[in-house]
Amino acid sequence: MAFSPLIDELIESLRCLPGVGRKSAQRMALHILERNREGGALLAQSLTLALDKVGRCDQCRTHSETPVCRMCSNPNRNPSQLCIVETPADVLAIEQGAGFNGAYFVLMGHLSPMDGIGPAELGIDGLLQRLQTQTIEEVIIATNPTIEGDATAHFIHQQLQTLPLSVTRIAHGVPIGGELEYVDSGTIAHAFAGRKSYT
Amino acid sequence: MLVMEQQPAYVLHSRPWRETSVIADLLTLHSGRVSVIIKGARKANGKQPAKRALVQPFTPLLVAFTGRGELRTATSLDAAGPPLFLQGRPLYSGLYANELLLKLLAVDDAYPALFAYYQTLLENLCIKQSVEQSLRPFEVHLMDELGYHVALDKEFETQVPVLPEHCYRLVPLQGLCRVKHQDGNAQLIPGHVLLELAAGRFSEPSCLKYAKYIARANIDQLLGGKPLHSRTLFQSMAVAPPPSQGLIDN
Repeated sequence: MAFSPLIDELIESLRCLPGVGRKSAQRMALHILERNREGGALLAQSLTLALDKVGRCDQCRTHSETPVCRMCSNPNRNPSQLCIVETPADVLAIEQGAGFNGAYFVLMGHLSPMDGIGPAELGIDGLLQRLQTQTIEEVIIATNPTIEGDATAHFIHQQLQTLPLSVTRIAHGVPIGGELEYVDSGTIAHAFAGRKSYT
Repeated sequence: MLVMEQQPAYVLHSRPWRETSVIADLLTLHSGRVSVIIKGARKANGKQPAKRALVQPFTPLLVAFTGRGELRTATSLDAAGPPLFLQGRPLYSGLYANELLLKLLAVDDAYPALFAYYQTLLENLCIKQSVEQSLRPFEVHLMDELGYHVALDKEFETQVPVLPEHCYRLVPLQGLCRVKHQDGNAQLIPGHVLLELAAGRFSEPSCLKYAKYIARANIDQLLGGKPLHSRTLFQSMAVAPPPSQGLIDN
């Protein structure tokens, strides 16, 4: 069955969301039109506003509608520690768990030669500039423990070698509540290589 | 429905697909380069060893897949050994090899010998053998397997053997011509270096320099102007500032 052109267009537009196929898009479109027109209007409004206003933070590159995001402008945070992560979602994960109170730098991806993502796309120049102009004592590289994440970490480490600061990489190991029996061999090898003595 | 048995494979590259799956480009022993959907590869599931740890480059795998089209579906995925830990320059070299294979190999053509060479390359990179000394033989094998054997011990037009005291010019993917008069900017390769390389000896630094030139000229010709991103990355690493004295680092 064909819908009218406007509805068809709405269904097609909704399919740009991850995990939304034709059927889900159709259900969403009809739901908005039949049962929740106010919700739909609100969605349209906030979508337009967000697309219009949200840009990148000048300092950490995360999404922000102000030139400097709330995290970077918070005076209670310790600016001498800088944590480098791949995505804004990683910032959230660290905020929830790590007890980290420093600043962030969000790469918005990782080095991936096969996809054509190089240092320029990750804003490494901006990072170097920030490190040269601000007093930062420690850089914590918290890219994902994947091949691309490691390549990114190594690249950043190389670039920072001349700067008088300490560069650390987050540890890799067995997850809490995990059983060694079910952990993959790569993780176990990493966990052994990075073992700590009781001191 | 064509179901393949488990076979050795390496992931060359993977990209996320839908919520929890990935589309991975694999180098397999019996099917060559194939693209497969690996379902649930990004799911964190309690007790099963996480599939996401396996779907990483440089991890020996045993993979079975099904389907006929260009995109297959993986039906089983197991580790065939511990992952090879590459770090720093060897890691970038591994990514370079992966990009070469991804760009040069046709889908579904088996290259069993090349699979072995790739494995050897990874092992050499892993034991921190010189990056150049590991990559150059691999590139030569890759060209041979693709059917572009460039003879380094004779001229390609006349089949006259290369003599150590003469100088030669490379015609990419064709072979060598003797150069009698220096004509400006053509890169000249001494005959004695060519004979060393033809015999598979890549140990001398001076030979390595020419081996790199030959490999690069051939590969660039084959790629037809498509850029190699991992090479660009490697070069941007090379211009990174050298380590200074007294740095606080771990």
